[in-house]
Amino acid sequence: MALDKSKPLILLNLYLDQDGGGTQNLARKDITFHEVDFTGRVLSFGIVDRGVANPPGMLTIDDAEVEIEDVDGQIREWFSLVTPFKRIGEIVIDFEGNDNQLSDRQLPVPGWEQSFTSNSNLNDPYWTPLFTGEVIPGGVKFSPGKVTIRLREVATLWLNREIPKLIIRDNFPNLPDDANEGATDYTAPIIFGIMQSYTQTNVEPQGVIKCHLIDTKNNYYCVARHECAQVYSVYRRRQNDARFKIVSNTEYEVITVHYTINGVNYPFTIIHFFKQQDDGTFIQAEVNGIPYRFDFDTHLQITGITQRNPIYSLMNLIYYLVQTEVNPQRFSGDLWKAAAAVADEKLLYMDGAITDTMTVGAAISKICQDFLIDFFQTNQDVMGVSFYDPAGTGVTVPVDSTNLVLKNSFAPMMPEEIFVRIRYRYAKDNAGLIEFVKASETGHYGFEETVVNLSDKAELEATGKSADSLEKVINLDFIRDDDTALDRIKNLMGYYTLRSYPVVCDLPLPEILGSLNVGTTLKVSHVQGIGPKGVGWANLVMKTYQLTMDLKTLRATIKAIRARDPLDLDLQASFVGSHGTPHDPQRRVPPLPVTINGTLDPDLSGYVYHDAIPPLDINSTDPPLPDSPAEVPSTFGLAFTDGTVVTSPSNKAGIVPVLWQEDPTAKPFRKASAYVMIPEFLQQLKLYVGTLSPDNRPVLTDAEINRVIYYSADFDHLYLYVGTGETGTPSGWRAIDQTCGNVTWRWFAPVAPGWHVLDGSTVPMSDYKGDVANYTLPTMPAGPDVLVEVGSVARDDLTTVELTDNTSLPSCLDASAKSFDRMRFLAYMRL
Amino acid sequence: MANPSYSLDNITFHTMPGAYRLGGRPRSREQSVVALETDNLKQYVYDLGTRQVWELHFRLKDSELDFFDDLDVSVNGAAVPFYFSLSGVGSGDSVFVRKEPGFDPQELDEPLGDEMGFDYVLRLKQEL
Repeated sequence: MALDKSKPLILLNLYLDQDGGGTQNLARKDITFHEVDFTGRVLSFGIVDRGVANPPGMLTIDDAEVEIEDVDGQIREWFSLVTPFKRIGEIVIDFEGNDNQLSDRQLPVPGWEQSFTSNSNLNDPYWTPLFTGEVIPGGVKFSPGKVTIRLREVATLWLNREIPKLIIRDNFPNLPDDANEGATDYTAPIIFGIMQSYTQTNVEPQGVIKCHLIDTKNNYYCVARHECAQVYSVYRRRQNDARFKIVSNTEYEVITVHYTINGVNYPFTIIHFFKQQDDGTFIQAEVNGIPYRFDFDTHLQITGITQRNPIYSLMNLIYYLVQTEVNPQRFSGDLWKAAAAVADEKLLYMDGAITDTMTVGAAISKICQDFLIDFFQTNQDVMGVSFYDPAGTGVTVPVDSTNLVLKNSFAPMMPEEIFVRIRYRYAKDNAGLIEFVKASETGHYGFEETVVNLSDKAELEATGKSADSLEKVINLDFIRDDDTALDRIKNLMGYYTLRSYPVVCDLPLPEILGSLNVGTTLKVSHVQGIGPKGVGWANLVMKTYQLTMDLKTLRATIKAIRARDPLDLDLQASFVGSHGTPHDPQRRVPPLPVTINGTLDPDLSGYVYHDAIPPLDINSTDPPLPDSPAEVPSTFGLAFTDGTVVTSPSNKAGIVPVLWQEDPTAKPFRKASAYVMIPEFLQQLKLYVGTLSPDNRPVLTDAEINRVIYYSADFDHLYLYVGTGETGTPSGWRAIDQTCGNVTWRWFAPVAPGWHVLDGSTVPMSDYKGDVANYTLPTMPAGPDVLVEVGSVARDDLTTVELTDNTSLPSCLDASAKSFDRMRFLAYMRL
Repeated sequence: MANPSYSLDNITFHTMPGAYRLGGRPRSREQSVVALETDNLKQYVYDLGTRQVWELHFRLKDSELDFFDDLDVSVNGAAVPFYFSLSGVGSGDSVFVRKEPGFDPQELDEPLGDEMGFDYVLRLKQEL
């Protein structure tokens, strides 16, 4: 049933100290809403105002004000007993009769500095304040018969924190007295993506991350405050050296050292030199940074990968900086994942590092600026992110085809800022080398390029005046990839074109409350739009960047912008500088179409997916078979055409990445949105399907090492081509999925091929190389009869049955199974 | 002022004196709304609250007027809400109300019976 919005209900919860009044539930009138009594004391609710920078950058949330009736002096009494300062106030907007709110919500923990994660009823997903703030000194005014309370928003307080440097003497007592340039503390780097030197910049490779000596006793040099996917190479310049030189890897090892600082465990990536380095030595490195994708819902969901997605990098950053208190419920997992998928689809690569002290907000803001990410707070009090989609293919709110624009409020404008040229710099040198290429000109950025909007330039210059001065300079600190930089700058140019129209209009707040947030795309139709006479704008795709909600008049004033002409901008990239393209390994490789047996597979569209192998067997054993499972590699590598090799996770959590298989005989590889796509991890692959007996695997050359995966339909195994030079792999293949030899107990024959009951028979069996030989299976007697209570779930779900005397299953679809049937389990072996 | 949790069990109702005259507003309601209208004249109307209001006209003798005088004093004009029942004690339709501020009966030009006569308008608003 549609929600009845005719009776909006605005509520105020003041979480005062218990002795000073306790939690006070207030409203404009006495009302009981979901078993909570709200007292009619509120005279007036003010305005709730949210915004995102335009173009994207930092979010803004304004304070809110509430007037409360106090003729009887009750508020005065509460506030006189115990100060209300730092106490939390929530404004909630709902509708009478709405049953989406739970009555058993938890009370919030009082605010203080941690309030962004503890400001509200975190255990109740339905309790979604429109605004959460705290009472601050100077924020309470007593007038005759009433009290006016100004609530300072608390949702963004955490953004004001400074990123801890970590490398200070308190934490590292063995810091050198004259550490490097004499400084006494440094910021332990946070590294995202691939940070490598350049080979085409007339400067010798010298590393991008400066590694500080943090332990003179052990000769530890800090690479990062977290684990890294890889330290590619280490460079050194001694005091009298003219140039940096690569250091032989026999002189050092890369290790992880755990330091607990202020209660937080930091797994530092350390270069451990076996010998002490001379005074005045500079150590720098090329690094592949944070190797996970932190997930707000599942935490460390994927590890051991090259992580270059900007959205996941933001999530990683938030995790690292507030990991002792980060609360996933304050972040919309759906919005973040949707934005991450967009970044994956667009192949937006984030490669950069935080190497100087700054606030969390400044770091997030810079990342959002670089990638044009809208970082915002929703009307449901959670943090979300999005990419503005000028094509409007994402979620849109139609305005005004549903007749929402209020009378005389629609005011479109011509653009406020116009630039016809953007000069942009990227590939920042975080080591800050004096000798860095073009440092004097570019401020320590590796590359500088220019994009010109030729059509706007021509249109402006038709007046006879030059438009060359309309130039903007942008520094992209977290981008090193050419195409990512160009793509983002093209989108940024969309904010500065002649037809990037802003608009202001009022909408009825209750109607848009659940659908329109800042950062939301909407379609605007209005006859007064800047367009053809009598038509104006028809479904013009715009983005909201300011949402002002007047709770008294129930009007929502939005500011939106059409940031890009729906037609392609006439942009021209004019590369300047001494370098060419592609620059280096930072340059991404567009995904090639995926082929199976040499035929293009359109379903895969250039990507394949991986997932952890599900635990297929119960009570499995590791039988003493030839070519034991221990020989099966727990990791495998995949090569890109540019020579970059990405190695799979080192199986830390017992997870081996494999291509997801579904209906293996018909479609061994698939694309599935339910699984995480990592284009930089599994692309450029050739996939083959065939059998092991007879063996029709293709004959390959070493050029195909780590680039071909073979699926054997008869044994249901996956193999990676590792080359004939690999020791112990004469066939050149290695299994990369669940190994042969595993045993499972089942009361039915496994559906997939490649299993046989342990009955003493001699059967063909594969090994970890994919070679097939006859093998006599051991004889395993049937297990004890098991009393199984069954119902209606597919019988495959029986794979997690415990072989105890009595097993209760929720259900079973197998027609032969009856309730409380006794079943006999047989042992099957993976062949 | 909050609606206190009074119990009606132990309170005493006082019957109003005098004749209730025609011409008042015995069953009115007032409503607070926010009404918004679009360029295309579509209306969005939001109900913020509805309450009953009464305007009851009395013609009273001087002695009968004392009842309302006392009522005004005891509820301090409009300051203190009280229960009002239109149908009599125990009818179950008691409503928490507030009287109009002040007390302003109009003296009649001629006596009412053997006493001075007054016209008095009692205005009540339901307390939400």
